Amino acid sequence: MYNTYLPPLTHVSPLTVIRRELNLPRPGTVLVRLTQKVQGRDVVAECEGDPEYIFLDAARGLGVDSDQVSRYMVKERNTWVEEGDVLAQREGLSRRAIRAPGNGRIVTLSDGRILFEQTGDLFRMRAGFPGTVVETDGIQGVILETVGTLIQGTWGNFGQDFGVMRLVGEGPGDAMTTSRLDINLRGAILVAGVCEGEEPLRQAAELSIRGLILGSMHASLIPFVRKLAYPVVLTDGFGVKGINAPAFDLLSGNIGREAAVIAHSNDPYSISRPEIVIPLPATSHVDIPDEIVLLEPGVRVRILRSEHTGEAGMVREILPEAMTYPSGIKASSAVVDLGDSGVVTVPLANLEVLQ
Amino acid sequence: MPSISNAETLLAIDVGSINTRASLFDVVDGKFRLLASGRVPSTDRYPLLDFGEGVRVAIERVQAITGRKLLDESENLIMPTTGFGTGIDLCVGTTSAGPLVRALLVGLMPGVSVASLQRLASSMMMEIAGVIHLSDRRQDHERIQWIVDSDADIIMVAGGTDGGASGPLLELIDLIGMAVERLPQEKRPIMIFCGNRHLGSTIVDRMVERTQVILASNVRPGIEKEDLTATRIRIAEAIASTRYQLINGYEELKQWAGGHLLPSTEAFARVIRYLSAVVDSDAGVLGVDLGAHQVTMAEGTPADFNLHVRPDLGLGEPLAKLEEFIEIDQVLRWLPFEFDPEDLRNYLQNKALYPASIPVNSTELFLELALAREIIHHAMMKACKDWPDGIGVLKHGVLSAKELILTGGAALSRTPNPGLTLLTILDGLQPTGISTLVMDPYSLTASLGMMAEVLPVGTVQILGSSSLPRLATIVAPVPPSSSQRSTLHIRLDSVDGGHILETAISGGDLEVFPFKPGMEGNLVLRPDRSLDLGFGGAGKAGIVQVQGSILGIVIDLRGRPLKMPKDLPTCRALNQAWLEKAGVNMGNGTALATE
Repeated sequence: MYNTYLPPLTHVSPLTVIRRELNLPRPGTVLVRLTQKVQGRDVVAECEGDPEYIFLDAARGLGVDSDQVSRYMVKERNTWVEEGDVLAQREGLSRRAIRAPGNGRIVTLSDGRILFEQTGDLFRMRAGFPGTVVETDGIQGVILETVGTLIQGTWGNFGQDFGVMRLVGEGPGDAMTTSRLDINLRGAILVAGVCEGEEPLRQAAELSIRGLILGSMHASLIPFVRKLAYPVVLTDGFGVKGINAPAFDLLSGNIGREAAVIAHSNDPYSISRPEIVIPLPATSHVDIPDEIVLLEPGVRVRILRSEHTGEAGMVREILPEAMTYPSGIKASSAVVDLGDSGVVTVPLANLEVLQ
Repeated sequence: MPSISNAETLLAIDVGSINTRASLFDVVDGKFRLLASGRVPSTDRYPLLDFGEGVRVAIERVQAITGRKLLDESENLIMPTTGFGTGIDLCVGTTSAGPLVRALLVGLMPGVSVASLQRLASSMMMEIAGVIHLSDRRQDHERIQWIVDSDADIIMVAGGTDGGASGPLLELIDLIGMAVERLPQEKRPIMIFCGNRHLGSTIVDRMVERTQVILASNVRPGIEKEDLTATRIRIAEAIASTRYQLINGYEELKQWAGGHLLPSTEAFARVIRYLSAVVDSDAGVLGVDLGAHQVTMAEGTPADFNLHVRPDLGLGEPLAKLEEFIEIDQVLRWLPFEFDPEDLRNYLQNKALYPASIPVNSTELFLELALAREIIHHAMMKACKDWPDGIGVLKHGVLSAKELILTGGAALSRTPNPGLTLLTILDGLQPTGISTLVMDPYSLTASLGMMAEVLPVGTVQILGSSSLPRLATIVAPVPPSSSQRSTLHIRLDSVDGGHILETAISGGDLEVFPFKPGMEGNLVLRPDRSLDLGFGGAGKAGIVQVQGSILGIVIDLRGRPLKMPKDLPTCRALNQAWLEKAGVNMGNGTALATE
């Protein structure tokens, strides 16, 4: 029973066990075995690509009535065929044949028409980050595990890649500007505080960067960023906020190391979130992070909106009575120690746990 | 064990997308009253994926407030009451939490069965994945492709009058069958058939080995006849089973509620339908529920009822896509201060990331209420367009007069000053005629709708109690635009004949006259020739009986539709003036409800 406030949780952890499930969109073949170590770019499983459906007018092609087509079928339903294979054929003086328009299979014969499922290009699922295979069903799913730094973000543009991290600028709020991008950053994963326009993003694409980690960016850039070929993860949201201090400490302390930028969208009904994984050698026992952390004194939190947005601190006290804020709204609240920024009272609804 | 007829203690549980509420009702001085309400964050999302946790904590809050033991040592609901002041007699539930269901609509003719399906879908919490019909110009393989790629959870199929033609419909069914068969078992959508009833068994035979088929009554039993209500409830059950596959707690709540569990939107609709029967006025009743993940508009008269649900609008995650429907400048015109459009875009995205977060400063509060105005207005306009025969619309962009307007949703009920709620409704809905505006500060409406099924007398008594207070009586003549020359003379007398107020209000003005709860009076309205208050034409005078309310009597002569100036500085000045008229003094108000 979680009889105290259960806030949203974001992992910003220097060393933890990171276990992630990867799944093919449909059953296929898993190419790795249990305990096998893999690299970020290794293909761990593959399956047929998205199929395309085509009706082939066999009755017309063969020159027979619809109800006669089944007599001329050469291949059976669900039989794998390759492009050009004969599916149905009529012998005799006026020899006619229906051929497969691509690799695939016959789905069914309906009213003299063959419904053909043409398979798409092979879909290859990559590991995304170096790790060890700890579980697999052999046909669709793989669970990978690694030890390292985990930094979860707030927004991603759906891509994923792996590379060496480089810092753009010096501080957590420094902007990624065109003047700060040069050839030395080619092929890297860039870390910057903010980005305020399209031009630096375009220039970064020309440098073939593998990924971008930002504290925030303007919301108006969303359509442009969604079209970028490289993954982008925002650690703090939209606007001109830099990277929050705990996350920046971890990122800047690991500059030069390889990291995975996983720019998944937030799915409130699964573990899927935008995140950065920095594999590290495990020097001692490391735990799997908690997914449920109650809000109570001593817990590390981040403020989600209004004054002090993005700042992290420690919960000192959960107040027994609701507080009234300048907006006039009354809300259950916590007292949070922000260190140099002082002690503030914040609605529980505006806090998330950092773990 | 108490039967439903002599039940006295009822627990209503509402699992929302942000909050879970438990509300305890009992008989006090011979009448059902709300004793206590406990509200906690919902727990349907990752990592718990179990809304039962939130339900138990909400019930514990009620226990703590009332001192009445409701859960036993095993954390099960004590039901029926024990005689030692523990437990409850009845439990009902409503839910709006959980992932949105994607539906593919398949019908025969776009203007007939497809139109009915679209109206049906727009009255439920679902996302439309696409529409397939005989005239959609797609070839069969394209339809199969679309069905396979749609990622739909359900396929709703309609078509044919009862006993009518079957051939084209069965061809579509076969096509769906072929497509569904291509999907892995766990991804196959449920098929809901609500067409020609005579084809039910044939369709089950054709589809039974491919996917689950649910038969519902025909949405178009006759070519001119549409019947959505029964189908909607049947589909709601199917949606629930799909929606809560991955989330625990639903079945337990259903068990506790003895089956009295409905989607919140449907339960909300029941209350509006009930009120429209009670009010018994041709003007009817309008219900507006603005949530974090949906907007519900329900409109009923004694003769008709319409429901419109927008899961793509709300003050939570849907804000991320708000600009698909509403321009940023339209929101900015409702602010009493200058605000950068780019900062507003950032605000929308950040609020969508953390939908449960609340405004701490007045800037954020005004932003949320400006968004609320535009969202309500957009939803209302779309609802009026979708409802048959333009019901609810007086003319383009103007709502017809309503006897009663009931509004719900945290954003409207948690404002620190009732004047803010009033202005949000006035600007968003732009009501006309003479209406009573009722608030739902404890978010009870959906629960009362469900309660009506088992304890109708309880619903009636709560609806008439202070738990749903009157906010204001609104007088908004039509049609004038903001003609400065029009004038409305009013006189307010108490029921015992005492004179309370007499004044004239000029066109373009907004005035609020206090008339406290508990008071009753007669309001004499004498409009000039340009104003129509529904007394039989423009310039006609009339008398209406009015009851006191939190704010009193509001005279809105700002025009319908309310035309805001094009330049934002003038808009800001107007907003400031209207806020002052509505008695909004930030930081000095009394909250209608506490977070």
